[in-house]
Amino acid sequence: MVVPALLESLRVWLPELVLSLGAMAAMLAAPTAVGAAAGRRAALATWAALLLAADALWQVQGLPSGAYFSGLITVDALGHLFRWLALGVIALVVLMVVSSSDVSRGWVGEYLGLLLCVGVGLMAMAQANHLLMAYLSIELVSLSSYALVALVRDARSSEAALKYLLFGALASGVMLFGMSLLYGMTGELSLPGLQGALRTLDASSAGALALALTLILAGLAFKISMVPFHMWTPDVYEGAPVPVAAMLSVGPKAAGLALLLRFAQALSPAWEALGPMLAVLTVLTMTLGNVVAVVQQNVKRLLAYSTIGQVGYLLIGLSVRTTVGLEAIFVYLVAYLFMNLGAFACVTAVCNESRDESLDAFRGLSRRAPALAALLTVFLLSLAGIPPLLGFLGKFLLFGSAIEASRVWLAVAGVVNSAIALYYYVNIIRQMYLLAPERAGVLQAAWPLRLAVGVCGLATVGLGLFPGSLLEWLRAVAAATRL
Amino acid sequence: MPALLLIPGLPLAAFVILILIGRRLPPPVAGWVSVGALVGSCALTWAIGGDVLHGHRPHLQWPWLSAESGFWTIGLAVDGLTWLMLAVVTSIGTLIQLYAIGYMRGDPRCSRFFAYLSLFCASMLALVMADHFVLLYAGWELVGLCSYLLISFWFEKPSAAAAGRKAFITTRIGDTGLLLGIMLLAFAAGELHFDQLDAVRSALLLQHREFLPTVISMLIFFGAAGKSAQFPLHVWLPDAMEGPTPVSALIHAATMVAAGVYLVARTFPLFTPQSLAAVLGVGLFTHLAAGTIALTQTDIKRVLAYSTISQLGLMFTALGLGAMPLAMFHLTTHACFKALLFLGAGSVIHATHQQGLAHLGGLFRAMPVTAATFLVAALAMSGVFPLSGFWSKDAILLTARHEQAWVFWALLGGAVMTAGYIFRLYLRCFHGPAPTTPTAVGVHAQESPLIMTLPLMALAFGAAAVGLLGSPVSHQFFHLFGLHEAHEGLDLAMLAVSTAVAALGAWLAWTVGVQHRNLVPAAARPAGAALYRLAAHKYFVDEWYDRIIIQPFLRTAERLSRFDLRVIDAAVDRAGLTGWSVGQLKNWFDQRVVDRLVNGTAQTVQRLSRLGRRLQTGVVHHYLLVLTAAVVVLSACLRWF
Repeated sequence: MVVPALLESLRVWLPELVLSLGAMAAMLAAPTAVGAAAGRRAALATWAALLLAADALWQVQGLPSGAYFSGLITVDALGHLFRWLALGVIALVVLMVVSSSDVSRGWVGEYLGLLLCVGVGLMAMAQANHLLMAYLSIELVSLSSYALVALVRDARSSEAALKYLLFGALASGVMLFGMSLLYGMTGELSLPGLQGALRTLDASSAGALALALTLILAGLAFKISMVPFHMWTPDVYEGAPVPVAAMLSVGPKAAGLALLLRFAQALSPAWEALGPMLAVLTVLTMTLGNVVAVVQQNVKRLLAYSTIGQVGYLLIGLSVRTTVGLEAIFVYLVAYLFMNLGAFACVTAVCNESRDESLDAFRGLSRRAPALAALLTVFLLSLAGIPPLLGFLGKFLLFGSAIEASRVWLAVAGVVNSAIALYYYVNIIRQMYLLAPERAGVLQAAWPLRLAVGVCGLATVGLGLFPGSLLEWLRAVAAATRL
Repeated sequence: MPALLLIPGLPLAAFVILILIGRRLPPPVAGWVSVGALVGSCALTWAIGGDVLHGHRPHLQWPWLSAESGFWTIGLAVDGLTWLMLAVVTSIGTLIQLYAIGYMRGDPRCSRFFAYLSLFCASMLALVMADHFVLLYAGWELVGLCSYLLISFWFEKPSAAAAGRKAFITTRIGDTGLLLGIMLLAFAAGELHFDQLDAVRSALLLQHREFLPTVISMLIFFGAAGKSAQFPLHVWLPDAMEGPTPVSALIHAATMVAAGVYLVARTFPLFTPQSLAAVLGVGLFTHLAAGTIALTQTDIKRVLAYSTISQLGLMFTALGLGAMPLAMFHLTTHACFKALLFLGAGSVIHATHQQGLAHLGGLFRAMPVTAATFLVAALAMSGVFPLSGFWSKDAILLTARHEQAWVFWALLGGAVMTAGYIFRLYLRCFHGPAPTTPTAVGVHAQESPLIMTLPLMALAFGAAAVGLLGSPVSHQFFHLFGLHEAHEGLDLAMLAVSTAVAALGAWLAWTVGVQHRNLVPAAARPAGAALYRLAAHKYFVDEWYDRIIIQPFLRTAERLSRFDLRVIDAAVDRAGLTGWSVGQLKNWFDQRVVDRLVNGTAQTVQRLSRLGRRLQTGVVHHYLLVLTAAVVVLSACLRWF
């Protein structure tokens, strides 16, 4: 009885298994060769794992939804969507890692292996159906990320990794405390079980419940850089190699939102009490991110604050808690995946060459690399929410969902913030097009970077113009997801 | 069927390439890019030809705006009618573009020229492949734009710039009619797909009797008349001859001006007997009136322009008689021989740099290929057996004799004129006495290069042979329209009449046009001279338009401008003065209050931003403290509120 169920569960988890094997293969492949060959072997293993995982993910989509691994994970449309997102993030970041000069050549195998581990963690986060699973997957993502940040081994990166580790440890301790409170009140660890048990809870434990929810929210807020748990973000992005910062800016944000959606649904009646606080934090998050980004001179710090601002927009969908809001979150996540990673890929290309992370490095880029400058412009405009790019569509749906849920002030805050954000996004475009270049010569990006930028650009423009089938799919996912 | 997408897609790609990097390409390469793309479209068209002939209907459709319903779809479809237009546009277009490579050699904006030509081909192909009114209208406007760009291609010449403007405005008037028709149809029937037109017609007839379909079809015909230069919107086409000659051949003879005929044929189910009568009237009148004008013109290209108007009138006459396939048949044969005539004329202009008949003559010896192919085209247009014009024109004449006898006699008169003006042109250019004026350079004229004569020869073959496809010998042509019954056979009487009529026209051209003998009896000479002057001045239509539309319009504008100056401006000045004093006040307010607010906001954002940055101390203890404090504060909030 147990063995067939286990086999069935393993089948569902084929993509995760393939990625895990790929992670080991990538790390073991590197020592078998010396120098560039090591990196090539690791990259080969990584790509094989990614393609096989994508194929497996495509295959398992047909399997029935429900709980697997004795209820540790759940398989549903939401999980599939976020598994695809995770795979997309990892694939694009791999393209950046293999051509970034921040990544020391001798460590490529370790970078790629850890990235695949992050991928497994992200996928598991999206499917967690059990507090233990949720905690384990978050820790898998976190620990791999600490290592990824620390791998450069210069003072700046070590400092960033240590800050990240300390902050993360405290956050995860706080979250674990919240989970233990829940367990103490109900004796349940699985999300469906918790949902049932919480309904029968009497009023006397409301205070403990509120505390538990806040603590869990704090733990997840750390992952998605929600104010006031965002402090680590700029420092860590600045210290980390650009591709790792790119991964941190999209992957954990998406998976963290998925997990928040799952918790919100499972802890449903009690979670509603968080509503007003969440809405206030939403506005605070986007405002702090966008306002502080205005004065940043380092492009990685600027993108870190921009990430915080973007998370603020995404939180609108979470705090309205409607089907439309869900759809808006999904659309914006897809948009964010492409436009943000596209922007990071462009930054990788520029920093590779100039070794300079200040905005000055972008001066006159339009003359040195016209295609790159044009695409970076597309990504920045999409991040700012200019039609007809995909980012506009997502933002439009998010603000629309706020208005539909009669939280007009959320939409107003979003619009005001978009106006502020336009300033620092356009400032980069101004540097690229209106100022004279600081150094001469044509900037030629490596082909994996060009591929990543091209894919992101195509998606940002193409899906913005023809969003039909994307919207159809995401609408179906939103409709299939319980609130 | 991705092949369907490629047919307009290849020329579009050529346009994109040429408009972006055309300048960097060496000039002949630009031409070859354009020709290559069109050859691809041509090959694809002929490749699907067999399927279409056997009744297969390739169709490609995708949703455009699917929010509300499936109403807004865009699609490309090919049926017999469309395929015929595709074959005409791509085949003749290829030959003409090939010719243009030779003709435009040395022009500094050569790549731009071919870019426009490619855009034209792409839009024309999209127009004829559209399965929906909206896409057709988009193509319709795009070909109009290309026509404008190409007529005024040599915009340094003021006359060319003016001609382009005139063409654009005149056809826009017709387009407005078409747009109104489409909107009316959308509101009344809620259906704009061409394959639903039969159902739309019955639904409209059931609900609105014949009134609404008549109005809609008349509006559509108004658009068609603008594009196909039918009276009273014909005035732009003769001026359009300012464009380069390959443009005249491709756009203003073979394809774009035929789009009006195609539009009426495509929407034929919407036409009621009343509107068909109007089509017949306009077509026949244009046919005859333009024929008389063509007899009197002295510029090669203008003769051909009026001839085109006249022949398009003949096609509309056939449509008015209800013989849609015959109109399309004549469109096809006309495209061959008229393109050939224009290219021949272009060859003459290229060699002599003259286009007035007074400066030309006796070119046969110098330019034998041009002259011979021109002769074939002239014979074909006059309807001499067994060239293509004979089959298409006689089929129309036969239909007219069965339907309405007076139309038949009028068309016979038209046929005499056709033969008359075309032979007058041919004889005076290629035979006749060589000009003696000092400006003439005809003596030094040389035959054009092979790249120009090769298309001439290919088109001459077409002008001679294409008609056979629709003759009793082979009925292939009409299979395209699903007509499979046998042709009524060769009518020997008609053959004789047609040849006699052509011979009469040619004889008149020789005696009157070349030898300048006056055949009019002495008594009628004053009246004849007056008639001649009337026709030579194109019936004063341009002058009429100038007097009853343009001048009154300008006068009104002038009066309005004077009113503006004296009344409105004065009032505005007064108001301005008042406003100025208020402005002074507001300026003070602005500087003291508003500016401080605005600058204050910006400064506040900056200050907040710096504050936020300062909070980011970089000291990890502070971060952990913030986290802990936040958890405490948030849970306290949750507990107490």
